[in-house]
Amino acid sequence: MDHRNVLHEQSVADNEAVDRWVHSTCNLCSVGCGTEIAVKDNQIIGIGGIDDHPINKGRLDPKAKYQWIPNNSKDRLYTPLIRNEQGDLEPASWDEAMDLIVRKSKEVLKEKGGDGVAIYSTGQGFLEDYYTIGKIGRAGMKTHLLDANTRLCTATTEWCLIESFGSDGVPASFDDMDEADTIMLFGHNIAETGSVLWDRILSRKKATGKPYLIVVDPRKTPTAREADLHLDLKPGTNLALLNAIQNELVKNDWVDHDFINNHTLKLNDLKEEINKWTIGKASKITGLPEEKIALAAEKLGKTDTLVSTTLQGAYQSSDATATCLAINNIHLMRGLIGKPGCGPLHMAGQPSSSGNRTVGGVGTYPGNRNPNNPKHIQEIAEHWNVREEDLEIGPNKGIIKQLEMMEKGQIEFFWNIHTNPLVSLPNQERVRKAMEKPFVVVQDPFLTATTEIADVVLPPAMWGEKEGTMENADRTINVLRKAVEPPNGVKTDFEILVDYARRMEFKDKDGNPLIGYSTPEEAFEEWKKVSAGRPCDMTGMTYERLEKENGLRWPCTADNPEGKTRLYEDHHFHTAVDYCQNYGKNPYTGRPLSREEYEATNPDGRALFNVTRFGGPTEKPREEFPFWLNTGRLIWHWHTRTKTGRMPEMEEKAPKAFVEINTEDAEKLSIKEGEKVRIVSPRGVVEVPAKIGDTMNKGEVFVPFHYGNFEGEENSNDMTMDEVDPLSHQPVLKHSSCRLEKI
Amino acid sequence: MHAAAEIAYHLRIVQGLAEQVLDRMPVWENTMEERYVLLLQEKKESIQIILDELMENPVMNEEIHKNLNIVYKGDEAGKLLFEQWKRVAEQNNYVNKDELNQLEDNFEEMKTELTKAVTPLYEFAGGWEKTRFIVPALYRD
Repeated sequence: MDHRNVLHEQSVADNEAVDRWVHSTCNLCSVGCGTEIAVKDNQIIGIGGIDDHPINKGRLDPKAKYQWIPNNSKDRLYTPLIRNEQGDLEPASWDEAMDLIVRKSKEVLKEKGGDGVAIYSTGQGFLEDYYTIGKIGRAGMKTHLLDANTRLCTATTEWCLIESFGSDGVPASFDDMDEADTIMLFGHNIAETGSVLWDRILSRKKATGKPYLIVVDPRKTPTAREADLHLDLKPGTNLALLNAIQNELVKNDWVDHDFINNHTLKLNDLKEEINKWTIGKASKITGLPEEKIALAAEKLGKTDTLVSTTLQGAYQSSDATATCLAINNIHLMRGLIGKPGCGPLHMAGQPSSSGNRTVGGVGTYPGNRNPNNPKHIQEIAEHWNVREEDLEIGPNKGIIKQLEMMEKGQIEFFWNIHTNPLVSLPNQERVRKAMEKPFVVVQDPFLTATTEIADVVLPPAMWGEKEGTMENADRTINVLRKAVEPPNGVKTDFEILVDYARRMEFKDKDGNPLIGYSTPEEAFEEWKKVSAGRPCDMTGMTYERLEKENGLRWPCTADNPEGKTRLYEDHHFHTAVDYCQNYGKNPYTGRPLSREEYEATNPDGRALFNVTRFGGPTEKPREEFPFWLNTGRLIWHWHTRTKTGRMPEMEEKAPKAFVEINTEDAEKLSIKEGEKVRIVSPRGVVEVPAKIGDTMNKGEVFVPFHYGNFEGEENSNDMTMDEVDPLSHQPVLKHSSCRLEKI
Repeated sequence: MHAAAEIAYHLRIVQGLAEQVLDRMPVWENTMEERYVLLLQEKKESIQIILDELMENPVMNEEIHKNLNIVYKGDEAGKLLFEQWKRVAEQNNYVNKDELNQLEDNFEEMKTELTKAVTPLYEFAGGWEKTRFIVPALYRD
């Protein structure tokens, strides 16, 4: 039961009278709150929460209240820009910009084929845009180099779900948080990254005392301060903790034998790995007292219902996928999946990053299809009416690999859509050098750090100026209606992509246009057919129903029109060899497995335990760099502040970067509150004011990653490390070494 | 040269290069090095299985198919790990540049040899369609 009352929140410019309210969804975090857009004189003038939307019941995150303000920002781009011979960006017409993009992509495709072009998109676009990117990329450009900033956000979610359950798709939903006796928030500072969902948990806890909250985070975050049990482990040691917990569950027989015997495979392989993980050993590595680890194991071992969430503290740390696999293992050991109040709920960071994975814009194959299964390729070829051999199969390449390819001159055309890698990617010096090499198209409503190296800038429509759907972190698809027409000179992402396909003359095998649809709703209808029979089946959805029902979760079919609150209620998993999304990877080395290797396990509907071998961080603190550097978000800002930096209310709360330092460390270095400190890592240097207190443990510092977009700002990613997880290829942004210098 | 013999020729070179890298290990012991070392060992063993099979009966069979998959996919996965290990090693001045360059050359040469083996592999396996699920896209040029 959801213990929240309706709490209507809204913000409207100067409390003006509103002509109409238009159905939409928040375009910031991954919670997916139902919103309405206030329109007056065909201008967006505000936002309100939808009171009967089950996700937010009228609430809005602090950032969400002001997300309409950037739409009306004076420095918005209203015309494409092309870099001239003097190296300056100058205004151009859409025809000039698109002709140049088409000419350049044709040149590169002719010279290098599909391996010479890449599209790097976002987790903040619409499902229809992603689907079109996937179709244009695979069947038009014939490339497998499709990635998105979701690589920094949810790539690990995808891989841990594939490895354990055969397919992407989170097993639990937000509703399960209302039922769970225990919630484990693992590397998930939900109070700052999903405040509306956090309010849902706290409301219940206040009313009933439940759930018991376990928070795993090296920082004493606002989330951790509310925990019943806070495990403030050392950076890079997530898996050491979980291996000991898994071992405790087995040792104490806190396992569901019937479930394991009937619905899982390979527990014995896991036991061989974890039986050496005593609590004492984990305590030494994690720095946690033994009794805390024992208490966590007992709570997780005895609770009747459990929801476990993960976010960047898990995904952007070493052993990222293995950490999430260990959490899946715990749920499988306990049989706590596919029933009310139970299941892993690996989160997403962005409002529609899950949707990009689902429909294939990010290098996955549409509809959770397996790029290594010829039958699945054939299905896509039939849906798109193209030749199977024209579909490049991958595996997809993450952005860090793509940077290597740019450095070597292999990628010569790079299309960057709604993301700002020249602030958000690790080891910025390298990123800039690499991205200066190819022809770069940037699609963004504003000038950003990334447009500084763009050859062409395309100004797209923003939230409220376009129609489409988004998938949140619990498989809910929400529709966003167009509230106003885009300003003159601006086109929607969808229009840009369809126009590009037309200009490129991409055809199907009968000579008809590859992109046969012309509206987002038509694209959604085509996508629904592609999704039929797959885990993410959306054939029971329509735009009309999505609006009326305030979102629906997939799978949603004629037989199951209300959608599924949770997956695997029949305890039959998506692991059959010809149904699964992938044959998986070796959980330690990341080497993709062959069909023969997968078939040898013969999972056939059973979930898989995965061996979770601890690796730990590559780079560690030492004499020259004695501190751990951690980076992350603040509640007041979104990503690189392209939008929130233009919201005066948010800028006022957090205008500049800072470094959080433990009081004892500050005393030792004679650093005072607010004093500027130099932070030096093996890759770069930043100078920011100190914020001293008990949030950080000794020997650890934290810098928010939002800064670096505007002149004179300090970017934490000048210092972070460009190492990735072997399975998900998600960068390890959460821990690198550094030193502090008093200036 | 017969397709099977040509494949064997390139794989032997790759095996030798993998041995050269393994002989230099450990260079900077850490989790990333351990992972790519495991992949090199696995690749070496799989190549031996393929070579033995080719000697016995030079036609495509399940064992060769499985191990070619391990070799190609393992090479791509290992190279990604090696490149990032090299970057972190450089940033931290843990390993001297000559050593790093030598190792990188070995990894590059392994990829080059595997790329050269693709054309005879098409012939051996019965066409591009049969091999494109074995050979990663970036090895098919």
